[in-house]
Amino acid sequence: MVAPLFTISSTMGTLFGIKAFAVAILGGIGNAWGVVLAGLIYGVAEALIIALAGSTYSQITTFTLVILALALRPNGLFGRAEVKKV
Amino acid sequence: MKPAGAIVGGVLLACICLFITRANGYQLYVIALVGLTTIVALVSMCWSECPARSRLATRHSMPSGRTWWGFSQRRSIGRWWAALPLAALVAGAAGLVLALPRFRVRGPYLAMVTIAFGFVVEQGAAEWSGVTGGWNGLLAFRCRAWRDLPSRNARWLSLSSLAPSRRFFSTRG
Repeated sequence: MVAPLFTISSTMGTLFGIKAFAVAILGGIGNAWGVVLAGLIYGVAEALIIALAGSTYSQITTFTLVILALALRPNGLFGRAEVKKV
Repeated sequence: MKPAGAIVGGVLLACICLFITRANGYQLYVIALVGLTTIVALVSMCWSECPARSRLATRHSMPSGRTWWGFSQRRSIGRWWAALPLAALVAGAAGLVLALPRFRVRGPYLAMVTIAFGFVVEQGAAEWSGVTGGWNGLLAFRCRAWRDLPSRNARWLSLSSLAPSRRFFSTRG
């Protein structure tokens, strides 16, 4: 499925997988609608960065945004904090 | 280590050093590869004893090393030894940036922060081609020389890679 988008190689899924994991984490684990929204936000943000600043630093910038988002919201953008049962 | 083992090890080490000073280019290439692989394997073993840090170590060791080499090769920045504290500062700053989110996120969220940070460091080092040489790395860097010993890089690399390997086995033996 990824082959039409990337050059075919043994590592062609690495970046795609990392981005998918980032989106899943950003959306909040266990929150399907959150992941859909996070995917939309991630894609729009990446496209905007490429359009405004070029593709050279797009991945650095998007992953930096992921770190910042998780620093501000440790359970993802739409996730809820786990309740510890004692 | 027992005295007999130390003597045998010392003699063996001296023989290897003598061989390195007289070896040809291909032999040096093989010896340097063996030495460096040993060092990487030993470091990996040490890190694997603390699993939470292993990913961090593998993600940051190569870009940090390459940044140090990059700094050391630029005349505009300073001398070779001046690159050491500069590289330490860069590595420390990178560690500080990573440590701050560490206090807030846990579990898979922390894993994602670590992966993203490693990706940023790797891509940043590669794109900083003026210092690190980009994706191709640094080519034909200047040789280090000391007294009248031959200053070929592979020879120095082979000799220097012996020291930590020897130290490790002498403490474990």
